[in-house]
Amino acid sequence: MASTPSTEYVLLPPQGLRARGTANADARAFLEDAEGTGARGMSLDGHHVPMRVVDSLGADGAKLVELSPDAALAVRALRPDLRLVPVVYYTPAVARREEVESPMATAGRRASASANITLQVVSKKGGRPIANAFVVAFVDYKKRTGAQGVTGDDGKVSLALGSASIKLQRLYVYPVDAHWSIIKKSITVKTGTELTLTPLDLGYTDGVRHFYGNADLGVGKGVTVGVLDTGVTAHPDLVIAGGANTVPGENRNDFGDNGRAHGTHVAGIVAARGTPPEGLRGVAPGVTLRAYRVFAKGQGSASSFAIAKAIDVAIADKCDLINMSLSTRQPDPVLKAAVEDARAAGSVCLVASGNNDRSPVNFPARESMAIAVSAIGRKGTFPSSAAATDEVAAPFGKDKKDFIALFSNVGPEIDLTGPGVAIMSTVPGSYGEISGTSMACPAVTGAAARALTPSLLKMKRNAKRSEAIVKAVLGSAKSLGFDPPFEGHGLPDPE
Amino acid sequence: MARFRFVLRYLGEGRKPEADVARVEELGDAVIVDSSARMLLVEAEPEPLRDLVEALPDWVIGADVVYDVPDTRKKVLRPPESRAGEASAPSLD
Repeated sequence: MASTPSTEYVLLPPQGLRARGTANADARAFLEDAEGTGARGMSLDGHHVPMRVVDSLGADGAKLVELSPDAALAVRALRPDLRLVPVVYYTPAVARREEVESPMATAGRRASASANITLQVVSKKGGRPIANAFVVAFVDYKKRTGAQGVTGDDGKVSLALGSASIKLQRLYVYPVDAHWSIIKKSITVKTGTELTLTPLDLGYTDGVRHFYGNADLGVGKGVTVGVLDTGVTAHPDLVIAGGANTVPGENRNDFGDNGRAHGTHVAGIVAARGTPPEGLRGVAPGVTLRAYRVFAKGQGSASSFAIAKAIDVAIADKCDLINMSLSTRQPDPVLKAAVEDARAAGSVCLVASGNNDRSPVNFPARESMAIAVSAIGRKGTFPSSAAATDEVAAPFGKDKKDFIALFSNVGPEIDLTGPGVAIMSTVPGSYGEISGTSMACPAVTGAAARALTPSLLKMKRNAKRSEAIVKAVLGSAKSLGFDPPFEGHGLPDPE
Repeated sequence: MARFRFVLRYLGEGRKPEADVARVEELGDAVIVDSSARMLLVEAEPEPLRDLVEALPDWVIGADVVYDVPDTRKKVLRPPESRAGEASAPSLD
């Protein structure tokens, strides 16, 4: 068998660069042992792990080591108290072009009426107009040129496409709720063209239900899960035990959804308690669910202060697992410290890797003390007309229907993977279908809750407890046949 | 001088020391916008604040990073090329 190329990592104690104090005695002993290994490798819980120590900051200090991806996974699983960080080589900072949408392309209102095309979005069920659907028309998909807009109450949207009739390379429609999104390729549109959406069938086997089925209502009981997100709105399928709003200047007790529906969708994937086909069932419906709103009312952005504060509140509320379906490309030392504080207090943060089309894992998922989650999809768990068909791409798993979602960020920091393509879940007042590592993350959080035993949950809330949680969750994972940078240890606690 | 928003997080045990908070308050025109048991949200000129935090034990400072609601929906970036030259079409380059 060909040897796998090694990558350089820095092996660090739980905090700082040196393992000092009685709380770090285990980490110090490990680092001191590693100091003398050279290229021999180490024995971890009876497993030989090939590892070459390249450099060191002294016996109890951080080590520069070379590891294969498999060996790195083993170290993370067997010694979750240590931080293992890939060596990052910085390049000159070239300003990235912001993907600002053209006001003209978005609204189309400035163009003359003759240059606009009015499309109508309707439901397959009775032809009812669908309001608030996001319609995206690409004249040239590669160059991202075209027009987009949101349907009004009559289901109509006027797009400035510059012609009375035009052939589009691609057309996407993303409804807010109750219907599947669609993609149409090579479609000629003109005013009056009708786009028909298929209603969601809550009895349908989507990605979450394929891998995790419809769990008994007691599954996950005893585990407290905090969802840090846009807030969670009351829904017939959800039981929200409490929460907080940590946005500066807002009412602390207003932790309902901020209007984006993202947090309500995420919460449903973890813990929805409905029964298909009338409702939906999450991965761990028995957990105690707490909601922490970090996104301001009606806003699409959150600050690191609000997020770090929410982590602190979730720790104080004794959340065992903290779901963070959010990310940024910018390093954030404050959030890194908050994630480490959670680990020291017996809570574990599970974080989405980001949706930048196979880019490196975003922050804070790439922090060593976070559990980083990538997204998989499965052919046959969404209609062939769904927008999610765009996300099907190599690599494929042992079962060729499984694939790593094209949007998912990947890299050596990935710990686990979960279903995140075309996932049905709760949204305020209804149900909706969304894709993202944001959806994979709560599926993994729910699966993690299933893997925690009562004796583990009774442990004193400290770093040992969170190490035991991480070991149990990673140990429950089954490989789907992808390389470690795509799936980490694999899918946790599958059916 | 330009002012920016920073988050200061205490890394020691328990709540943030009030004496350290007082040092931040005493710093020129730094304004504490919000606080929690272990953090301060501060608007200030970067250099004096960074210098102060480096002198305080057990604190970390970072820019108040903005996180967006994740989204995988495709988006148009420009109008069709046939319309891009019109006077009302904004340039994105």
